[in-house]
Amino acid sequence: MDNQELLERLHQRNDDPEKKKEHQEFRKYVVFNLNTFVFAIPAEDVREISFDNTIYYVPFLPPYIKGFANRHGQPYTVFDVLLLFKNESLDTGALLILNLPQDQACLLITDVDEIIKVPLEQVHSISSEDEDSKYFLESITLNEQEVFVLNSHRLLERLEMDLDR
Amino acid sequence: MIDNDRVQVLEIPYTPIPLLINRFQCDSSVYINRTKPRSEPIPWISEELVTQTGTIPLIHLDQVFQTLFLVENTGASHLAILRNMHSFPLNVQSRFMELGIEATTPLGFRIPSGTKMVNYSVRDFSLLPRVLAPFANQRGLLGAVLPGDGGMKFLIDMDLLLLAGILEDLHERTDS
Repeated sequence: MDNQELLERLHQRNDDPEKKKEHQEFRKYVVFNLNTFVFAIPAEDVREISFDNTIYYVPFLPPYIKGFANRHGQPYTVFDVLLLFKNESLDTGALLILNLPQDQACLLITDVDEIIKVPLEQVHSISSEDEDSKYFLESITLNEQEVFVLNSHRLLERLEMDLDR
Repeated sequence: MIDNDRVQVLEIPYTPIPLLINRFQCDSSVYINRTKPRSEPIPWISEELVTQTGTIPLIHLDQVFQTLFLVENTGASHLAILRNMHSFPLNVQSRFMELGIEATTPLGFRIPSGTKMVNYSVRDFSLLPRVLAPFANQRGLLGAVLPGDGGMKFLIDMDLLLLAGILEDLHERTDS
């Protein structure tokens, strides 16, 4: 098979209706733990998972910002989401690095559980109107448990709002 | 700045975060030989540096840094950065004067003895993450140096940090 044919075959495969159907009917999530709590985040919002990081404290910031982490020679803002939602501080060096187009931020996590594909019928919109619900995109059913899917952009908006005060 | 690309800084070897102060924010420095208590002590400014020509209010910048950045005590802080009052921005000058420090007096800032002068390249510095950079910059945290082997050093603006970290607070206390 020459290169031209190879490229054509690759294009054909990408245009495959079955493959498109699969893409449309599933969503991919990273499921992670914050102590005993389980959350998820869309897989495309995650750049990498990193363990044993040192967090460098930064003064003047809200308590749910633990400081900065050094990732590949760049400072990343470290969010303690558990403190924000449950008022419990997380003591760990594990980070979920967010894939953000114009900023550098990451979440303090206990561990990553799994990366899963969820059928669309198991993805639910959030109907609750409580204060925390704005931080979630949707929820998914996982082992008969409802797991909330984090909206990372809302976290940055919250920080921006708190810093403006 | 020196040359086009070099930045000369005072590097204070704190653990875990060394702090960097631009050389331009330091008029001179002396080894602290003799001090005496201030007659009207206020937090952070409780002593005076005794020199051959008189006394200079001595601000315990080392304690300020330990409190704000939660860095470890180095154990010895016998150096003082000296600044003439007119080298500060007007808002900083007026805050000092409200605390009873005369406009013509130089000020001393106690820092750890292990502080040294180091040259960096502009390329060595990283901007802070976008969302919080303007907020942190206004409070004197300008950028960071992130060595390849891990770690992090903060470049601080001494004037902005003094204003945000202690002077506003002292101003409120003396007002109330």
